[in-house]
Amino acid sequence: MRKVKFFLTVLSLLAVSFAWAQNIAVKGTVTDQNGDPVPGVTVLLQGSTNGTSTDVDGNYGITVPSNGTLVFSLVGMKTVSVPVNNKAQINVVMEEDAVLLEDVVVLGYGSAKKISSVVGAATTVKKQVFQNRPVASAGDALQGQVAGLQVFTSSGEPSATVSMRLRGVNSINASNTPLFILDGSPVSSSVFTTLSSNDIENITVLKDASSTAIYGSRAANGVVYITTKKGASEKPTVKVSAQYGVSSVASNPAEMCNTEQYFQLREMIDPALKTNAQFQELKRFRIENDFNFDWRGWILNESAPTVSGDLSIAGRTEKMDYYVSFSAFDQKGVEPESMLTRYGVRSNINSKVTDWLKVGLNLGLTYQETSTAGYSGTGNSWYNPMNIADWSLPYAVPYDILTDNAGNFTGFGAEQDYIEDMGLYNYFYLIKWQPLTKDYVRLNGNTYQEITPIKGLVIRAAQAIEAFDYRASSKVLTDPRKLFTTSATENFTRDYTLTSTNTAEYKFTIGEKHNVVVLAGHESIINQYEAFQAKSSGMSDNRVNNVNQGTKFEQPSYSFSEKAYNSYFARLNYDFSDKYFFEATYRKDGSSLFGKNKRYADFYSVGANWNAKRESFLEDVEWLNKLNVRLSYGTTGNSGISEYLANGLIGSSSQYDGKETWGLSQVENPDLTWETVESTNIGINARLFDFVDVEVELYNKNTKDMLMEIPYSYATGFSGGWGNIGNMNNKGVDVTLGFNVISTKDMTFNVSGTFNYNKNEITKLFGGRDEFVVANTGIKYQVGKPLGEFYYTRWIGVDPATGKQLWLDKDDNVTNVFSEDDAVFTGKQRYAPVAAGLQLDFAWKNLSVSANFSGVFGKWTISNTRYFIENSNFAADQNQSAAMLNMWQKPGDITTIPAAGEAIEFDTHLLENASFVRLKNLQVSYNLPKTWMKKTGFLTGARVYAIGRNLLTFTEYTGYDPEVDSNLQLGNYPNSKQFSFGVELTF
Amino acid sequence: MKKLIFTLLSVILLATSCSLEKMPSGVVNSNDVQSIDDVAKLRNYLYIRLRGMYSGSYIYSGELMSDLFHASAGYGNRGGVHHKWQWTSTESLAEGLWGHAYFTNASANFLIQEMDKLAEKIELTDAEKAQMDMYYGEAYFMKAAAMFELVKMFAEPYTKNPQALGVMLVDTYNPTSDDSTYPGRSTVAETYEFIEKYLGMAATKLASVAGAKASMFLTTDAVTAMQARVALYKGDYQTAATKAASLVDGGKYPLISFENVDLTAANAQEQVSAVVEDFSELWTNDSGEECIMQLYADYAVSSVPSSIDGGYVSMNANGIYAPDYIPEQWIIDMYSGEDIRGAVWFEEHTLTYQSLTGKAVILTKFPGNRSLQDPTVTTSSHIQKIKPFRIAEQYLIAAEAYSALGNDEAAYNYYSKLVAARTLGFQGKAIAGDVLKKAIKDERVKELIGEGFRFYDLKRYGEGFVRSAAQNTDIITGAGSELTELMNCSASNFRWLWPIPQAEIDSNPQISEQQNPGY
Repeated sequence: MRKVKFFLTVLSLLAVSFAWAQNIAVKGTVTDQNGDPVPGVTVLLQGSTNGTSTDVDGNYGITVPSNGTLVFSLVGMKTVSVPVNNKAQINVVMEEDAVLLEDVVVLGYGSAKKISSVVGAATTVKKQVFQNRPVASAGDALQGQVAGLQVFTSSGEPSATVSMRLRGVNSINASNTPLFILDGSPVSSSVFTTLSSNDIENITVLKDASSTAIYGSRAANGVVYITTKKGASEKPTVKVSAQYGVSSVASNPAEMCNTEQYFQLREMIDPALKTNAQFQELKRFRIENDFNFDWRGWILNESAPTVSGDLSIAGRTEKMDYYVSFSAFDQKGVEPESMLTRYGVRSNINSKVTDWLKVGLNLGLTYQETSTAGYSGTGNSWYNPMNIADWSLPYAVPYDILTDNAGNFTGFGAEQDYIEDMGLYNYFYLIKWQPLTKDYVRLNGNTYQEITPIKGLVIRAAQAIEAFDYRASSKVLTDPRKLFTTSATENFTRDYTLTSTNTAEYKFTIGEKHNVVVLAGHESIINQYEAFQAKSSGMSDNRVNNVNQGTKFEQPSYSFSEKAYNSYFARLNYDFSDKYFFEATYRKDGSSLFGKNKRYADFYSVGANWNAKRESFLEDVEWLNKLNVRLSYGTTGNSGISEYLANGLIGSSSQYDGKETWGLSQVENPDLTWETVESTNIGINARLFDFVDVEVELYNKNTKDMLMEIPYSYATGFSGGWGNIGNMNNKGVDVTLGFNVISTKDMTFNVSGTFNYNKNEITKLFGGRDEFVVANTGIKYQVGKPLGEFYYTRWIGVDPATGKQLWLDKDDNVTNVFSEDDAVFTGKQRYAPVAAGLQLDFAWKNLSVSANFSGVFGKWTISNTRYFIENSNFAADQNQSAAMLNMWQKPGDITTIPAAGEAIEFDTHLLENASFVRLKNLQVSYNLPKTWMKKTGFLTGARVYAIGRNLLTFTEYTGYDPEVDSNLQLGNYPNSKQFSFGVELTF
Repeated sequence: MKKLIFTLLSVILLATSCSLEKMPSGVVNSNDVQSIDDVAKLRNYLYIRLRGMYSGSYIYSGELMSDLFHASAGYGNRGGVHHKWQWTSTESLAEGLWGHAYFTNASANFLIQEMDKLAEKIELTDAEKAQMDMYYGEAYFMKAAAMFELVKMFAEPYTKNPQALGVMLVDTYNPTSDDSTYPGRSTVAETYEFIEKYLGMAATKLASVAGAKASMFLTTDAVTAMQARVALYKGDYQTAATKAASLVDGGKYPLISFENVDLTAANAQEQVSAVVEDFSELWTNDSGEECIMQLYADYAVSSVPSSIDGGYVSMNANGIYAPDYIPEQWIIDMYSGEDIRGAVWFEEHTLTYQSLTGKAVILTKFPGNRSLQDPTVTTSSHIQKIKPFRIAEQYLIAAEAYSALGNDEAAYNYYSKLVAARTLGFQGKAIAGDVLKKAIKDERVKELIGEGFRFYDLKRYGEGFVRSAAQNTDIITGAGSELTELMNCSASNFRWLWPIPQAEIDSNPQISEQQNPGY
């Protein structure tokens, strides 16, 4: 066979050289149906590599044999072939290729499918949504884009990852994060901080069992499939873009007391202070001299810069396509020391080596340097920057206070290392002497070999590696005040996941109309994590303080964990005449995470899609452009738990008398197994009046064998152990609507919206009981109730007669004694049942404006913040909310703030509505006129744009940030509001 | 080409299946205890549990709850829930102790189970048998000690109502989610029976382990000391008196004493200084004097207990004192000028709370053993070696027990020996009856303050308490308030019994109706 090919190649070469004798110069213009020039069209002499492409005005020129044929091609257009026939001018009108334009979607293993033929529920978000976003995590851009997918950015830390949930909470203790797939291989959720958002071609969210069951084990929470870009046009395209922006806190936090109010409050709380000479002198001095320090301004950076730049080269030849990019991103956070710098390269290359062999390599390499704000992870620490912002006393200053001999204030001196007014060290002093650097090298590599031995059969082997190497290096230096024990710590972490996937797919047609695709495959995954830390202390000199130079060496720490999966799967697709589609999948999964008795599990799905528009009775209905009805049922698994939970373990504890000690650390559970989600999905897509797109999906999901830490009686020695007990149900609806409001040559205006309502319900608990309270958390599981409904004692106010707080007990009687036993379901949920998004895209000639709003409704959270700033017991040390001035003082006072000294409880008075709507993204961009480009001679496009993130937030929540995805908030790093400008040039 | 494809395929398929048998590194499977060495490690761990049970907030919270201290102006609500008697059924300290004690009990049960199994599995030498016998004794003791901590905290005193609810008693290691196997609460009497039984068994097994000063491990004397303490709390005064007296009379643990100081001697000053020096060393360097047991701690291997100091000193690197808790005036008044404890365990300082300052005497009994903390840190972490049994307590047990038995002479004898040791130039005058009883109670405060006895003693006396005047109202929180400074806590307050942790109530159907009243 090779010989034959070689012979043919030689023949064609001969033919070309023979033809050279009769060359002719041909030129012409390529336009579209509207008569507009089409740039970038590949013009190729058929059967040769002789080609060119059209310029910005659609013109081309080429010298070809007079009897040759020119082939005009461009992605998204129907290819046109025109025989030359000695013509010197050939003008071509190209039509849009309707078939190609229809989006294809990659569903699990095997080849891509047209959306209209997809049986399952899947939504694709295109690259326009991701490009040029001023955040490191592309995941943030998904917010509000996909009906049923809730996305939260819970921290303003530039290196923060997003949390995602698809169609409600499926599990209490196992993971609720979807499975992420990058170019065909499973990856961790950190992919979003690793990947430059400009490298993303699209992201497809697979929602129902039909589309996800082939991923079996880890697909219970849906699948997010990320595809990176590849070269498309024959002419190499070079793109350069740069962006600069600033961030500030996106918030409207509670008003705190100013100096005068603070002193007033202190006297209200402790009347004895009115006659305390020391206190009165302090008050006089600070008020008379206008001490009122802006602690928020001192600790937070309200114009933190973000800079980014991207360069990419993409293109294709007959035998290969390529996309090579380099990106740099640097962002400072609003809290001190917090930042992320990232450099990334990506190279995606596919090559058709022979007719029957195709190979490819997608390689992403990222270097990331991050620093997180010091103490920001410690909720109730004084040194948490958000607590400094709120708690610092308004009369205090971080400077020396200068006075003359008579004690009169003369000004401020140097900044203090120790803020005497508050008995606290200066935050900046503390972090200055405790530097910490963290960096990551991350690798995402995918290779594949694809063989087509006979027509219709594709055998593919794919290998992937996802790995990171993490280094953290911290020092505690000798500081002038000798506060710290000097030390040096070095951390090394390595994590890698190897995936090997082998599939065989065979497509064939029976008769004319029966199309069948069969796929079978095998997949193995192994993950290893290893961490090592060394530390020494007692250095006396900041110049000689490496980890090997301490005087005292700590025991190094080490950890290692490992998990593995083995899976086998198969899929059958059948369609009749592009009208009726059926699909069935099966997967057998084994994982090391589970008990030895129940390590393997089976998952399957079946589904159908009816392309109703193709029925003869609908073909002539003009107002109906498209109608598909889909139905699927299937099971998926959840293995998102920590390693080794099934093992009974004994671990080392502290030494005693210099000897080793062993303590029990975990109860054995050989029956630990997968959580399974059974889901049913019914979907309808339609396009009406060539104007409205409607998609409605109804789903019902039952989680079975839910992994729960079953509380044990302490009599066993343990507080609990893992078991597969408990069921949960999620049912709901996803709605996506799109309107082409204006669609003219010069102006387009599209509006689209997403909506999801999800109802969650616990349907079975352990031990045959129908309710269980997780002590000390405000969480109660009850059959028939949703997970995450707050269970708290009802606070109803302050007794005007006594100043004591009043609660309702279980039987709705008013009481002034707080008891957790009086907790009841509040009807308020931590997980929002409703989420929605709104996209507005407007374009007029070269100008385009797009705005994305995203919101969740019915989300509640406990403001732990208010426990500290509305609590008279803390007022002596910490500033309080200005609302505290309404504190109850004497009988008859009507207020919500109880009398001084009253214990503040975690009850419903701290429960706040954290529903919100955010203008997540607003982008205005302008494409410079093509005529200008032409004059430059080398530019093909130039665009300037301005982009804003989180510019508007609408919420009732009183804390800094309603978006934090947590049942409780304290000292959280709030999201930022960002504003950026950028330029993008195409060559 | 077919060949190529098939070769490729088979190679790939073979190469990629991986094993699903994964064990964590650095730990041992719980069904893989193989040898005497393994058993020894399980046994050593019981001492870590014991140390944990006698340290940190398990010790100091009781002190803050009773009538010894006032919260300072800058106490920041640390310990506030306890000091103000505001805890509820989800109180973390109660759950902490409950869990700690039962895990200790389970660890002891597991050790016993594994030793039983090992004895059947392998041939043991006589030496190994003796070693295992000792381990059995230690495991029995740990079970008793754990249940004793619980019964003091969660149940009525035996003297009040032996038929009241005690705690759950567990004899086997059986961690399971099957909640029908969980026990309910036994009675107080049954609980004490359990404790006494295991202490008796421990005494037998440890009979050959002779007592030694500051022993890191259990000895026959430590078991006796525990038996005396248990008997006192139970109201079994005969046993208490006999056991405590035997330890005191044994003479193995002499008191650091002023008794032999000759005030008329030329070097009287030196003699006094030497006693003061020794007495300071008791805590400053954990000298081990007077200790029947002193548990192991070593900073070098990061094996140190939590501090039992409840924020009584809080001196920062700038030398500023800002303790969270300040002794009440009556505590200061109790110590005579000649009392070594007043002189060594207390200091007067100017306390500073932001804008508020004032002088007060503070409890500096636990200065912190500097060898148990980072040597480069200038401020003290107040970490001490844990002293489960000091001989001074045995003097007080003997005195109290004899006085309860009506033997005032013997009672006074033990009482006065302790007082004489502590008081320079003590001129005893025999007292008896209620005066003696009151004196012994006071002496317990003076000697044992900060060591975690007061709350349980007050509970046992059943008299309630009233907090009284502050040393300096400028620097305490809520001066004049009945919530803090002048709290009047009656004997009938339901919080004398700690709440059974809500988590236990929720997970154990047998106990769900057995919560202590009021919670």
